[in-house]
Amino acid sequence: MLKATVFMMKKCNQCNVYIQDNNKICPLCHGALERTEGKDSINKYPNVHPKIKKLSLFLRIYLASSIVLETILITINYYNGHETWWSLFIGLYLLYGYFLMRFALVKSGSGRWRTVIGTFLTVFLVITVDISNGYDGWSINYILPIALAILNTLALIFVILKRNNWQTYLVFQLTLLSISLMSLILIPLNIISYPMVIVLVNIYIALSFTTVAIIGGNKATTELKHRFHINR
Amino acid sequence: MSNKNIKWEKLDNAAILFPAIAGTNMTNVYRISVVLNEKVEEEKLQLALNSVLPKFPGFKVTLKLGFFWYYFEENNNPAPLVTKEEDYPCKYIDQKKNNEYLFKVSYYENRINLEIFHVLADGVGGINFLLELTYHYLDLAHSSKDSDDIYYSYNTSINREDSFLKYYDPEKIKKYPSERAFIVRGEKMLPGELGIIHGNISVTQLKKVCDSYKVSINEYLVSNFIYSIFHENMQNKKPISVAVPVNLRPYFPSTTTKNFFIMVSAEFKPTRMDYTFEEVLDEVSKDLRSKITKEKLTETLSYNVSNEKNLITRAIPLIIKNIAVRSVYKRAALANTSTITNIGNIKVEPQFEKYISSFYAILSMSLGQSIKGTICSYKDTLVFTFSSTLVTTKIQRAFFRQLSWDNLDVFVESNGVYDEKM
Repeated sequence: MLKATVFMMKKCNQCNVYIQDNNKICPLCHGALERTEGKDSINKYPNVHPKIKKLSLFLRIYLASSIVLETILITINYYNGHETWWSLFIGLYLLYGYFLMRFALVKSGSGRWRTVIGTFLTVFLVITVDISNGYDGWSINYILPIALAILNTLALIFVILKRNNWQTYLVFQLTLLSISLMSLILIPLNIISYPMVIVLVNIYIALSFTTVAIIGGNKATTELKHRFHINR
Repeated sequence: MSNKNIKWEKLDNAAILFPAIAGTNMTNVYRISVVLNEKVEEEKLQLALNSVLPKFPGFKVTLKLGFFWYYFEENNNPAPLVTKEEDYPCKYIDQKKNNEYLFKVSYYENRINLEIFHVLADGVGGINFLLELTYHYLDLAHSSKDSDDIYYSYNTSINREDSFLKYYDPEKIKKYPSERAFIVRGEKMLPGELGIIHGNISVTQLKKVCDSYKVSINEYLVSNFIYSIFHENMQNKKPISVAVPVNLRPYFPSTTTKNFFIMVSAEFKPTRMDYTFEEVLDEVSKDLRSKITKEKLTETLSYNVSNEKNLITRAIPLIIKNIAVRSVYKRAALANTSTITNIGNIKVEPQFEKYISSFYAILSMSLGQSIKGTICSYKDTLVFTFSSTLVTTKIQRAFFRQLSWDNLDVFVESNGVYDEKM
């Protein structure tokens, strides 16, 4: 049986329970407590105050200001003749800025995937700029393959630098290879008018992946086996 | 390029769910704490953790994303840093900020906290690790031995068998119904806050009361919880269903430290407003007894495993599988009003008993469940812990008042959140 004399510091007569910590009121009914004899008890938990996430606050201020600014711009655009909807493109840039900051600054997910998402957001923005200027195709012909090549080069650098877990970048390379292979579909659709760059980048990524997989030997094979295990 | 072969293992059947649904709002992290009779020293606790971790391959892992399934891979990073408790319990464990580990160790005054992402182990596995860590710590704090040459309990298991697969019986697959249950609603605390109320009760007193009702301690406490929910929501006619994780080890011999439990729902379907506690206790205890039998548990276990054994399920890429898992989880989660987990009676090795005061456990919140309970006992003290994100404490109040009406002495402590809310 618990000894009341050890713990009994305060009592709630409404709930008929003894309160063991330093609460001023009963945590159950919020009623006043009757003090009993004995030494003061201590709180068993730290005093945690909600932390204000400054970063999150900054992002919310940016988002709210952007919405206000965009509404003003759309109104100006509408009343000053709206043959071209330039305000929507500015809105797109503001949205791009928001998502880029979110992915770059908010620390969730691994750095490598945030880099990929940030890069593709940038490519997407560049494509919209190209489209808004009548679409010359430079964004898809050059910027998209260059972005893939840069990401692949970064992956290669990390494979060399990260001596202990270099093999985890194999999946990253494989993802890049899948994306670059999928982008080849754009050639027969005539969206890519100058295919040489994307073809060269595909070769570059495929060769890098193959080289790392072969040099990596057993560890690379094991990594791919683990990642693609299907039987449970 | 280093060519050392990295060890890996597949997730057990219960663990598959957790990575798909876990996030900052639904962390799937639980805490088990041991309260010592002395202040905890950070440096010695870190040394104990460094020493214990290599002996537990099941905790020395990181979670990796495969194309079809998640899997564990051996983690060769240094042990996670022991920290002084500065936040609410059961926060999301971000692998990237924790040396890629899936558990955390913190301390506050006399208490050592072990917080575990449920993907890693169930309560039995967690207690197993916490006890070993505590023994190492106490040995280090009370002897002059070297940190590499300290106590290692003979009771400790490091078995990592997937016992679900071992006891799965394809002949006994039976789907269980999932009717929508009553959801406890109310004003919520700020995001990230978690209210904790512990109630300490004498096991001797409690046994006497349970004997007088002719029910087990588990049945009495689960029934009281359901009655308290009913009592505060008497107009409700939806079933009040409390998920009770059942440790399968007593029914299917296993010493695994992986997850090995299934959920059984204790149900009460109110049709009027004037139920007495005795009526609810009778209905709930009968319901629990009918569901916790080896035959029923085999059916549920086999049904759960059959889903992962399905060839189509296996061949679906993880990214799509996760969407399906979340949808199935949402349906299943809303079939329960709350969860009560019973860690059971914790026994420590006799030479360490004098240093240990109590144990308790805390559950994090999940979809539709804003209040949960845990039961944990050590020596003659049973601790019933409520964790909740609701501002109101009316269910907790009804629960402890019922204990008091049954002539039990209840000693309450909280984490101070409810004091601040006044």
